[in-house]
Amino acid sequence: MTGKKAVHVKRKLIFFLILTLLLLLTAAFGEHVCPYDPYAQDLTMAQKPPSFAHPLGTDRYGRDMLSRVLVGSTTSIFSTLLLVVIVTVVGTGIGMICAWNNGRVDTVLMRISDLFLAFPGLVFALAVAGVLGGGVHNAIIALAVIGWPKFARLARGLTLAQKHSPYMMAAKLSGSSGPKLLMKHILPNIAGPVLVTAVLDIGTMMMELAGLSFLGLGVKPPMAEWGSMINEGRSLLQAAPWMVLAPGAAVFITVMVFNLLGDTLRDYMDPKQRTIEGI
Amino acid sequence: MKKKWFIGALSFAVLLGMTGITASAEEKTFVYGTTGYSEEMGDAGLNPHDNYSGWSALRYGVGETLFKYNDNMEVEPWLATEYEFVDENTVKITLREDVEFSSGRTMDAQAVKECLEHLVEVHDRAPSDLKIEHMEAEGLMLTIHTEEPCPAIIHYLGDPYGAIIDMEYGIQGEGGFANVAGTGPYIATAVAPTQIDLVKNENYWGGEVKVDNVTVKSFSDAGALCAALQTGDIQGTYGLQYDNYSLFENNPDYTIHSIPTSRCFFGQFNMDSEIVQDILVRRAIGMGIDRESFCTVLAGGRCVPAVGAFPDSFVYGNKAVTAPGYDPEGAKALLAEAGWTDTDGDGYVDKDGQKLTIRWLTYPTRLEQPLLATYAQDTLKQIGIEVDINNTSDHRTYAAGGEFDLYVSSVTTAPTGDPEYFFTSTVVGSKNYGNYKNDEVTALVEELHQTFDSERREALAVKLQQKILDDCSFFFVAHLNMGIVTRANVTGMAAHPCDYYEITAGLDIQ
Amino acid sequence: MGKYIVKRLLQLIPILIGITFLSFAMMRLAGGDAVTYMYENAGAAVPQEIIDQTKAEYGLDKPFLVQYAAWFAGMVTGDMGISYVSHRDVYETFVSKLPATLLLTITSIVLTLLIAIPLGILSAVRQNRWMDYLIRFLSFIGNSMPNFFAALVLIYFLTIRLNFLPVVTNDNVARSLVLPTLTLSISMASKYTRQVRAAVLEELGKDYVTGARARGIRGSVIIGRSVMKSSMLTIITLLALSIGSLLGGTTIVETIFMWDGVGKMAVDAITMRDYPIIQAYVAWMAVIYVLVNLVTDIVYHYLDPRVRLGGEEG
Repeated sequence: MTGKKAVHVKRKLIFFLILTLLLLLTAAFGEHVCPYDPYAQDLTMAQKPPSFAHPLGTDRYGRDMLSRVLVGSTTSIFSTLLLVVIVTVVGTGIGMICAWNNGRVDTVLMRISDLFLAFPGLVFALAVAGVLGGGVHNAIIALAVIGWPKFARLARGLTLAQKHSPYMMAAKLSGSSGPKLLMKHILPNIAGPVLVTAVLDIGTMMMELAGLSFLGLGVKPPMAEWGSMINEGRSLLQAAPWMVLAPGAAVFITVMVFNLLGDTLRDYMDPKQRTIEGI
Repeated sequence: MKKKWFIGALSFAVLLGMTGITASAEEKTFVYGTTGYSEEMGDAGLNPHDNYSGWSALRYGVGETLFKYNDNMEVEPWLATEYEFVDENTVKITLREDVEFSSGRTMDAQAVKECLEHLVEVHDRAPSDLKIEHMEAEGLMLTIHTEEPCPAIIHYLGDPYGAIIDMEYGIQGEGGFANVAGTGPYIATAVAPTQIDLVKNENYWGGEVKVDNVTVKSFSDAGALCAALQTGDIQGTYGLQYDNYSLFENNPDYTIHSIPTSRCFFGQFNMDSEIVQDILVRRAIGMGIDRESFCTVLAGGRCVPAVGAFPDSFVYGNKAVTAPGYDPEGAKALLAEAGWTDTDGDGYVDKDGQKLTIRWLTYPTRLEQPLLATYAQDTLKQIGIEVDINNTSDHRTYAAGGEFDLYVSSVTTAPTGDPEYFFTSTVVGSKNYGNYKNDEVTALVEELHQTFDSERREALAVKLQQKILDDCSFFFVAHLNMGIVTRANVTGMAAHPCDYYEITAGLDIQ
Repeated sequence: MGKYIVKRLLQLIPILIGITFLSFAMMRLAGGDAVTYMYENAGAAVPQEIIDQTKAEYGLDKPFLVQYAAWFAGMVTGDMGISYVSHRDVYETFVSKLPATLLLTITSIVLTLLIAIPLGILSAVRQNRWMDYLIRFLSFIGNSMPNFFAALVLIYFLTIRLNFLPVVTNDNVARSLVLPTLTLSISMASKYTRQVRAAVLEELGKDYVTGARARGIRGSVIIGRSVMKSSMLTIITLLALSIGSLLGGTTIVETIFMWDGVGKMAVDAITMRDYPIIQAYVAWMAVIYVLVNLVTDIVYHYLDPRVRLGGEEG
C-alpha cells in the first residue's frame, strides 16, 4: 500500500465519520428540529402528497411525514446502536471466556450458541413480544439474544489465535493472572476486527429491527419508528406512496452510511483483512 | 461467460413464456378473490357442520339454508316456504317442493332431518343455539321439538351452519378439502384451503344459472388482492382494504357494492377500575371521540358512525336510540364537573396529583381498531385525557384480568338478525369483561330471552340499548361496511348486511 | 469421512431437543392460543365453554411439560401431530409447502450467481475505472436496502406504475416467481459481487498471475482457470449460508408476495399460535443449520486439504 493510498483511505474515513456524526446529531436532536409536531393529527390534511409546506407529504392522520421521519431517527438509530453494543460486548465477552477456559465451559457455551444460531429469529421475536409486550425495547432484547453468538465465535477464534502466540506465553510466564491477561493483552489485540465487524453489522441490525417493526412488533403508537412507519403506509402504497418511500429512504440512507463507514474502517485498520459478512 | 448469460437469458425467456391456458370464449368464467376464505378464518372447505365452513358453502353458492335474511335482517323463507310455532317447544316447517341436491336426491323432510341431526351431533355451536330435542319428518313437513322454548330457532336456522346438504352423499374429504352436495346454483368440482373451483348447477331449482365456471381464490394479503383486481387477474373481490377504495371509486371500470353490516366497533368500560367508575368521565370519553371524522377520513367512508349496537337497516338500529354526539367543549365541562382540571399545565387534566390516563386495550387483527386507538389518542388529548394504548393479540388475557380501563373490540352484533345474541354474550354474558352490573338490564335480557313476539323483542332491544347507553357502560363507534368490488361488466353481485351471500344464481358477466 | 459425517449428524440430536424445547417454552409464554384466535377471526363471539372444550381436545389445558413430552414422544415415532388450524397432518402440510420454497431458493441463487460472478470479475478486472465504480455503487445500493422495502419499491414501480408484472397470478408460477426472485437477488447479488470482486482482486495480485500474464496467456483464461478456482472457498461459504437461510423460508418476502412456502407457513402459524406447525418449522431450521455447517466443512476440506475437518477441537 502506497502512502498516497493511505492518505486517500484516511480522507474517506474522515468523510464518512462526519456523515455518521450528522446522522447521530439528527437522531439526538430530531425532536427539536422538526418543523411540525410529529404527533399532532389533522384529519383535514390527511394523505396529502409532498408539497412546499410538507416536503414529504402527510400520513393518514394528517401528521407531517418529514417531522415523523426526523423524530423516528432517534428511535431507529439509537436502538440499533444499543443493540449492536449489547451484542458486541456480550458476544465478545463470552467468546473470550470460552477460548480461555476451553474445556467444559467452552463446550457448553458453544452448544448454546449453536442453539441460538439455529433458532429462527422471528419465532423468538414474536415470543418475546408476546411475553414482554410489543415495543422497541423488547425487539432489541429479542434480536440481542439471537445476535450474540456471531460475536462469540469471532472473539473465540481471535482469542485462541492470540493465546498460543509466543508473546502470550511470555506474559503468562511472567505471572499475570487470567482476567488481567484477557483485558490487558488479548482484548486490545482483538478489538480491531471486532470493532470492524460491529460497525459493519450496524446496517444489518438496523434492517432486522426495521423488519420486526414491519411485521408489527415495533413501537407503541403514536411513536415514530421507520420500520413501523413503512408498515403503516404499506396498504396505502398506491394511494400515498410517499408514506412508504420517505421512511424507506431514511432506512436506506442510514444503512448505506454505516456500511460505507464500516468498509472504510476496515480498509484503514487492516487493508488486507477481509471478513465474510453474515448471511 | 457468454454461454452462461445465454443459458440464463434463455431459461428466463422460457419461464416468462409459459403463460396460462385461456378458457374458451363461449363459456363464462368468473374469478373471485377474497380474504374471507382461509384456514385461519376457520371457514376452509365446504362442510357446514365443521366450524365456520358453512359460511363458505353459503357464500359461494353451494349450500342454502331453510331461511335467509333480507337486507333489513328479517327472516325470509328460502328452502322452507313457511313455519308455524305449534306450541312453545314445537315448530312446524314446510319445505319447498322440487328441490334437488347436486347428488340427484330430492330434498324432503327426511333429508333435512338427517342433515340437522348430523349438525347437532358434530357441530360446536349449533346444539346450544338450536336446542333440538328430536324431529319428525313427513313428506315436506318437518316438525322440530326443542328442549326448552327457543323463539330464535328460525333465525338460527338461517345461520350458515344450517346449510342443507345431502347426508347420503356425505362429506367428501376433510377440513379444508371437504366437499358436499348442496342445493345451490353452483357445484364444487375441486375444494382446497386456498381455492374452490365451481361449475354451474344445471338443475338449479331457482332457474337458469348464468355463469358457467367460478373460481374462488383465497388471498392472505389485501395489497395483493387489490393489485390482482387492477391487473384483471380477478374480476371481483371481497375484503379489499378501504385504503384502496379510492383507486376504484369514480372509476367507470369498476363497481363498488357496499352496505353497513352489524359488525360493530365498540368500547366497554371496566367498572372495576376506579378511574372510569365515574359516569361523568365515561360520558366525557364518549363525547370526546369524533365518530364522523373517523369513519369518513380514517376509514375512508367504509364505516358508518354508530349510536347503538345495530346499524340503521335494523328496526332496532341506530335511529331508535340516542347518545350524546361529538362535543369536546361539553366533554371538558363534564370532566371539570367531575373534578378533573389541568393544574400543572401539561395539557392533561388531573385530580389529587394524578393525571387522567386511560388504558385503552385493543387488538390488531381488525385493522380499524389500532387506527381508532391512535386517532382517539389525539382527539382525547384535546379534552385533556391521556390514552395509553395496549394493542396486543393477547388481548383476551388482559381483558379477563381486568387490566384495562376501556376495551375496544368488534363483534357481529346480530349474526342471525336477532338482537338477543349481543346482550346475552356481551352485556350480561361471558364477554362482559367490564363487569357491568345493572339489575334492570339483567331482568330485561331475561325477558328478551323468553319473548316470542317479534315486535316485543324489537322494543326490548331498543330499551336495553338505551339503558346501557344512559349508563355509559358501553359506547359504540362505528359499523363496518361490507364491500364487494367488481369489474364493471360483472352484474348480479351485491353486498348484504349479514355477510353470508356473495355468489348467487344472479351473477352474470356482460 | 463416513464416521465424521455420522458424528456430525449426531450433533443434530441435542440441538433438535434444545431448540424444540426452547420454542415450545417460548410460544407458551407468549400467550394466546389457536382456538381463541380462530373464533375471533370468524368474528362471532363464542361461549367460553365451547372454547375451553376445543382447547381440551388439543390437550392445551394440560401442564406445559406434559404437552412437550407428548409432542416429543410423537415426533420420535414420526408423528408430528395435527395442525390446530387446518386439522391436517403437520408433516404433510410441511412437505406440501417445501417445493415452493425450494423453487424460490433455486431461482434466486441462480439469478444471483448470474449477476454477481460476471459483474464481480468485471469490476475487479477494471479496478478503479468507471465500470468498477458503477458496479460498486450499485452493489452498495442493493446491500443497503432492507428486502421488504426493496419488495415494496419493486411492486410500486413494476406492477403499479408500469403494470409490467402481476403481484400474484392465477396458476402461473413462472410469472409470479419473477418479483420475489428479483427481490431476493438484489441484496444477495450485491453482496456476492463485492465478494467476487475482492477474491478476484486478491488472486490477481499474486505472483502466478503476473507470471502467467508475462507468458502471454490471455486474461480471461487466467481468470477462468486459476483465479475462479481459488476464489471458490469464499463463494461457497457464502452460498451455503445463503441457501441455508433461503431454505428456512424468507419470511418477509414470502409474506409480501403470498408465496406459499415454509416461511409464510411459519409466519401464519406464529400469528395463529399453531404450535405443532411452529415446532416443525423450528426443527427444520435446526436440520438446515447442521447440514449447512457440515456441507461447508466438507467442501472446505475437499477444496483445500490443508483445512482439517472442523469441529473436532470444539
